[in-house]
Amino acid sequence: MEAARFIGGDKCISAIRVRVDGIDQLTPQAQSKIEAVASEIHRKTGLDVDIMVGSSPRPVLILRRSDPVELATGIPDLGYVEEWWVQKNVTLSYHRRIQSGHLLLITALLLTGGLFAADMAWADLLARQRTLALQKALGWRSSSLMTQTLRRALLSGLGAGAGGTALAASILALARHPLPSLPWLLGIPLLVTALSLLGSLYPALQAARVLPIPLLQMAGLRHRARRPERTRGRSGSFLLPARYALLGVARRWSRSLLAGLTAALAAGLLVLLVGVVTDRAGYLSGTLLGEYILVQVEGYHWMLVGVGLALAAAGMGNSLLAGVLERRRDIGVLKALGWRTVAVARLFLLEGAVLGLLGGVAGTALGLSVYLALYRSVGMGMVWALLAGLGVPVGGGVLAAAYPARMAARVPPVEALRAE
Amino acid sequence: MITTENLTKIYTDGAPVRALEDVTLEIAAGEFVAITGPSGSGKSTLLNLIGTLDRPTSGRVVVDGVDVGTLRGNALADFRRERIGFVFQMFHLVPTLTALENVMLPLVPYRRGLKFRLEDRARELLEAVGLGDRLHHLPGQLSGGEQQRVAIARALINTPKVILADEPTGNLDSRAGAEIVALLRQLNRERGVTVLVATHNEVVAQAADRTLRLRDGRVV
Ligand SMILES: Nc1ncnc2c1ncn2[C@@H]1O[C@H](COP(=O)(O)OP(=O)(O)OP(=O)(O)O)[C@@H](O)[C@H]1O
Ligand SMILES: [Mg+2]
Repeated sequence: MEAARFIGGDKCISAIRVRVDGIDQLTPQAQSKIEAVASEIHRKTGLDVDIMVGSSPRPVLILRRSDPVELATGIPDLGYVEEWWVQKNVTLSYHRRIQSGHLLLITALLLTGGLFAADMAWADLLARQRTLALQKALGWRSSSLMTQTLRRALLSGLGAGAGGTALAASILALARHPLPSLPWLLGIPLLVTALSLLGSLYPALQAARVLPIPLLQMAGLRHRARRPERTRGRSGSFLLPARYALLGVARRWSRSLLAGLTAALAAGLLVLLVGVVTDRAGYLSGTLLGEYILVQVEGYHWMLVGVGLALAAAGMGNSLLAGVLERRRDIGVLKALGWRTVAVARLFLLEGAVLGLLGGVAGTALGLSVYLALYRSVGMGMVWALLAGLGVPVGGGVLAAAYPARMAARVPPVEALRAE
Repeated sequence: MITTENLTKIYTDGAPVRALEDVTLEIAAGEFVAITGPSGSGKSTLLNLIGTLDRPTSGRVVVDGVDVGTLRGNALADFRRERIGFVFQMFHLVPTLTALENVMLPLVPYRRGLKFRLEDRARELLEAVGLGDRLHHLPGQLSGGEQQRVAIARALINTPKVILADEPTGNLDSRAGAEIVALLRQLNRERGVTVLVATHNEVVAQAADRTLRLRDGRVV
């Protein structure tokens, strides 16, 4: 109090910040130590004490209700107001809010992983169709085909989970960072396995539905056998490559959808983070679905986005490659008609860009809506966020298409003549 | 227009197959020539080598004054695009593109230097093969004979010197087949395109100026 008077003179002081020494983690011991200090301050000075985490001011949303006196004088509730650094709650709830923010980001990443798993399971199913049909023809039951598919997902999930955890643990060990506790080390592979199983539920259902005979005669899932579609619109020679690319994406719609959704999630996260960093000084805060969220955007969040984008690129690359392999005949014809290697490669890079763009548009919409739900207004930085949200997935799609396009460019023209 | 000298092709994936042996022949500009012979006699192999879809084991192919053996990569693609038109037994139209788009397809990446509008030209050609009212149909909505006409129009888009047709009537009934042959014959007469047709079909062979017979990879 003396120090305050010395600095501020006789002016009113609304708050004094006291930093408790020797606290660097949120543990129950730390909590009780802080509480002891707080009650001592209260006892000796009569001041109200609030406990908060962190050493610098942070924007915090609080519900400001009028007290009875104010109500009596006609001052209404203010509702939610943003205050800097003042926290009307106790430490642990604050901690929980930070965690729920992280949880949002981690969930987005897990969802990305789940979509990737679904994509892989679906690709695996498409590749095994003939085998499945044969097994069915030989008298396998639908349920056996289903469990077979799920078992594959179980094994690959366990493998990926254990491998990924081991990799992450060894990186942590190399960086001399403390390892997570044993339950986490065991729990993460199980979580990955669960995701993998979840992703393969629908493919497993489809595996059970494979028909024995028709599939032996013609490749492709049901959508291949649809009646010839009606021609939609006309296109001049200029738009033809774009239309072909779009048709290529639509042809493998199920896989494109999965890969596109993966890209969309990553792009959405990117839009959110870029928006938060440019316009909100790097603090992701607000109320989402009734949960108050507060996260400072850090390096590892960008890493999450990076991992999501990498998964998306892998998914898109896979889907594009499948498209190239399915259309070797088409490509051979183009070659026979005199298309140069570069022209063929460009066609498939375009397909990657189209796939990326679709993901980008969906993701940007997603990211923007979450941002709006949090802040209800956008700033100039949103321009960058939107550019990134559209541009990065398109770039990712083109990159993902590099290898498939190379494969396409290498198809020899004689391929046009090869019988099925 | 087409000359081959001691053309030999031995397929070596698996047990070696001598598909073509020492074939020397000459085809003049504007000729309509049928290549016949039993299955496996090397008809398709010969057409593929002339069309630069495949490389000979030994020997030379000269088309329109160009020794195609000296061409590589882009030059080879350009050569095919500028001088050769293919008509395949299985039509090989791109199923997701309309008739008009399929006809434009060979020149789509190269439309910038063209002296004509690609779309107009494709439309004219489809009209010339009698499909003026099917421009926006997908291959799946066309009969086999109609699909083959689209393929012929596609082969003509680059005003080729040579049309190579491997069993163009093989997947058609006799009437549609006869129409395709008549069309090829007409294009040959009116436009002076050299036409080389590999076929089992006697009707096709009879329409030709000349018939080359192959047996076990040799001209007989
Ligand atoms: N890619 C290949 N690899 C190995 N052998 C081949 C290949 N293509 C053709 N052959 C063989 O070369 C020989 C000639 O084949 P080609 O396809 O030229 O015959 P064809 O006269 O066109 O027969 P058809 O009338 O049945 O079409 C055949 O013995 C065939 O088995
Ligand atoms: Mg043949």
